Amino acid sequence: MDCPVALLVKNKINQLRAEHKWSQAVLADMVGVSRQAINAVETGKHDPSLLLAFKIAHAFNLAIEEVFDPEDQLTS
Amino acid sequence: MNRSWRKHLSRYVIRMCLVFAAYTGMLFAANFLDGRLDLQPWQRIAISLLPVLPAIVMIFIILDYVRAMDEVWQKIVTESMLISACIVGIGTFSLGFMEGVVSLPSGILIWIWPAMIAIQGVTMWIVRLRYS
Repeated sequence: MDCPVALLVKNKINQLRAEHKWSQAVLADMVGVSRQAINAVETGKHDPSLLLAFKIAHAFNLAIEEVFDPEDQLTS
Repeated sequence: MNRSWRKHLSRYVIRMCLVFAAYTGMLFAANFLDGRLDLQPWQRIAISLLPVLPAIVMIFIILDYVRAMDEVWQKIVTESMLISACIVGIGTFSLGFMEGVVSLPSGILIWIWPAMIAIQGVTMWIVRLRYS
């Protein structure tokens, strides 16, 4: 069975923040993490946990798949 | 740093100050008692280990603080601790090879933990740049 070991997750956090006119610090405060955490997720340097991904999506009042898009780049 | 983290940070600082005060007190007490009383070898060992007790408490305070961090900061702390452990490990491993070839200062073992903490402090800021 093929098992993906790495999954690149694209996200629309930057675009959604711009639409809501929220800074990274504002979003960080809303989801209860540091600004660095939001920056790391937004720039793709850190894949968020399921809980954090849900919290971010909830902050924008969107479904998780509307914020995070698992890229079709599975490496095995 | 959000409000919740700030609360955890202030609790961490207060706890660490208290435990450092206990450590200092026990260090002086151990030196005072060892020099003045006629003690059995096992009693001297027990007294010399007194400062280790607050050091053990420190481990739990540090763990509690790290668990309160968000996942990115936990990753930063973990990576920097790993680098620090490797650097200090290789350093002490090298010193072990040098033993007998050169005379090493006595009491060097007591500096291993402070060295790990100091190096972790420096590497944390370097690792942090990867996530900025």
